Amino acid sequence: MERDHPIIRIEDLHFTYPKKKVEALKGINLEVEKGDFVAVIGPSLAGKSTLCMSLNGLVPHDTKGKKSGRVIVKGFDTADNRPYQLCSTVSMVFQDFEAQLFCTNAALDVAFGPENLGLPSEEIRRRVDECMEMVGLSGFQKREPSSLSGGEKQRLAIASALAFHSDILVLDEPTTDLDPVGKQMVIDVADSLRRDGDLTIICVEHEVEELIKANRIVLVVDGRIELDGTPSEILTKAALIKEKGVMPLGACELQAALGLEPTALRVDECVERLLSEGYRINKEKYNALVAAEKAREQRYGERVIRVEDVCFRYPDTARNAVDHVNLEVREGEFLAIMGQNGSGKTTLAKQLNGLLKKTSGKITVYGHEVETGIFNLSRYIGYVFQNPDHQIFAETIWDEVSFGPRNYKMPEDELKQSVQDALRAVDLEGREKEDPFSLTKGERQRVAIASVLAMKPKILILDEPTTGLDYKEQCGVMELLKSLNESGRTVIIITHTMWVASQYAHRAVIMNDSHVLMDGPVREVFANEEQLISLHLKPPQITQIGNRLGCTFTCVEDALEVLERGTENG
Amino acid sequence: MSKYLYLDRNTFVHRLDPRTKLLLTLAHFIASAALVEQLWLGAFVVFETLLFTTFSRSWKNVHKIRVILIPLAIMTLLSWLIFGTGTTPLFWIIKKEDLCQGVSSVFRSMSSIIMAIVLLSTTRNEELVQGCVKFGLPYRGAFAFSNALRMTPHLTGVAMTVVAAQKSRGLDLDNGGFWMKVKKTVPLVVPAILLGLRSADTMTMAVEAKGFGYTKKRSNYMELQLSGLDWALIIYAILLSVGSIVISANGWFAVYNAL
Repeated sequence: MERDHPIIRIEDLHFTYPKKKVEALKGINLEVEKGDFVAVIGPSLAGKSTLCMSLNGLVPHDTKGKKSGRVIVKGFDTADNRPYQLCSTVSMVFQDFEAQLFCTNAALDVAFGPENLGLPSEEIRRRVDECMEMVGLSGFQKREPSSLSGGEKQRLAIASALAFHSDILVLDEPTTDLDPVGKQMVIDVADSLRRDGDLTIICVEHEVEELIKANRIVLVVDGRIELDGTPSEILTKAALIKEKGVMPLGACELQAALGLEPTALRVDECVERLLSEGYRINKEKYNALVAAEKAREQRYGERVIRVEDVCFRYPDTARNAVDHVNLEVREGEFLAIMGQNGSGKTTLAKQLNGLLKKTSGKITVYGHEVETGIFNLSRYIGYVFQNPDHQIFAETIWDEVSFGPRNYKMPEDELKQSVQDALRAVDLEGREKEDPFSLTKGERQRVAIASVLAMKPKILILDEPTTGLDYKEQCGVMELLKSLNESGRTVIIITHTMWVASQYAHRAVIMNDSHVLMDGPVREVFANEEQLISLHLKPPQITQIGNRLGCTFTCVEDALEVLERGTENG
Repeated sequence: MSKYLYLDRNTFVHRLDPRTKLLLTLAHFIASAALVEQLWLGAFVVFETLLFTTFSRSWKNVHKIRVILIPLAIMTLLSWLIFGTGTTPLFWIIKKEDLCQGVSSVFRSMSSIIMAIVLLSTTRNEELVQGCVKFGLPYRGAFAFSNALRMTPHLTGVAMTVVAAQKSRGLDLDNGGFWMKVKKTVPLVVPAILLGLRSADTMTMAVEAKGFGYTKKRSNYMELQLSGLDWALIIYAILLSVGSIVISANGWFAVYNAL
């Protein structure tokens, strides 16, 4: 055993996966002190997860490949210690949180680690209750993990890692499926544990807003550490981190776009800064923005989806997952269905194309009742699942995208044209012969969208289209949806990524506890910040800044349009 | 909707120690296999299985697997009727001995399967592992067994999502001939296998990262304890097993000899 100070020491770490020519990690050097909260940010395929797995020895013991350099955690060289030997020193929450829940109830999943440590039953029970309470899952002890929502499963995975009471907690994208308040809660819990008991936290995150609490941020790009510093040192470099494929803080992006040095990281600080710099709202310009949106509403077409008093209950459950919901969608709308985890969003959406059969009520799509069947409805509604890997099977992109049209026996000429159009729309033209499995997740998401587009549906429903993608990929997918919407398609997304909804959607439907609680233009809905927070939804920084200044911004461009220096209008 | 067979209920069968339930199931397997010619004793074993199913409120799971049970029962009966060596004509080509043997086989095989369903409906995977370990099975082996039980419903869940995703793309699984239907399964099998392999891989890493193998003396969240009823049923299970073997070996109470 070597000296245990600093608690993590990485020396010139290189790692190459089998059959890959490019190194996943290219000479990482990093030292982390006990009690640090280090946030690791970076684009997809930067090597963040590989870095995490090297901390508890999964790399190279379980993930084979060529490794050089050293990783020392609390004095233990991971090359000489397998992950199970290091579990009381380093505990980890994986990106694929579902695969790490393998017990028949939630309490047993949390207990699995302490049981392996051989702790007395009393102590195990105490830790189970304590950790479940920490992540807000008290009372869920007897629930079967598969019956939990995505966010609840993610919190359970975190509780099972906390139960080790380890020195280092590694969180690899721990909040991808959590609603905004849930995300904040997880980071708060981690932070408070660190403050209370010298816990060291390494957290990989795509959304930087929650990371202001970290005391250090490391930007990893292409297997190397590009930046390493405090949040104020890193996050204020808004343009640079955006260029590297990481979402900048709304406050910093706004300040930079206004030509100010982006020194304020938090909403209140930014508002104060803007006011002190003499920025004011031009009400006329703001009213013009709102008027343009009203005019867009007038241009929507006929009602294409009608949901009338619909209820849905899963078998063997005591309450409705969707309860007396009414909803109308008009042609050309861009709708975002949002809500906290388990609120019924996906359940509602899956009934629109007949994937789930409603318990009561009536749903019509272009005048056809959903009972007409999924085969017939899929001509009107294209449904893109959250995980593109649930549908990709073909050897080439062309075969994958042409699968849907072939199912409808589309004439060959029309099929070729349709597939070509779909590939052009998602920017994959010219790559028809490539293997879809060799693409990045963002590209596979594009293939999934193209394969639905090729069937020429009038309505597109996408379940969490940006989950698991980095900022650049998220922007790419959302810009694609925006252009599809502008070309006349009705787009419905289910999302808990608030900036995505505020920047791209026209209308927001907020679900809570199986009901629709709010429904209106995004700008109006996002103006109700307090109500949204009470529903576990927190508007993005840029919206909060606008709300403090007296009007609601949906994106930075809105703010640039409306903010003026030294004028007081209206 | 649960993806496991376990039904979270509070019946006396649920409350039994997993060791007792494992021994009872094993005893039923032995009795069902041994009492081939003892029609009435075999009927008693079947009756007892029905009692356990009713008391444990497990009929729901038996109903779930009826698609397996019914064809299996029909195939077993037909096999005896067609390939049996009976000599006493009953009607058409059916021989009396074959019909009796066939019916007996159906009841005995169904009884064994249903008893296994009762075991899985009333016992958590973790309890089964603990029970097996108490019987001296290495923890790694018992855990592997429980994972096999877990992976089946997990993969079923993945497959259901894949089916839904492909149906959304117009895959019509209901129509077409046999070969057409086989061809249509390709878009289902590839993603299901890949996702299954990926999650199995992550799970393997997660299990090790959660300290699997950290200590030889693994402790337990749930503590097992044998009650008076457990002891009584364990004695009964031993008597049933030994008794069945002895009766069968000596040909006592055989019905077919009298036919």
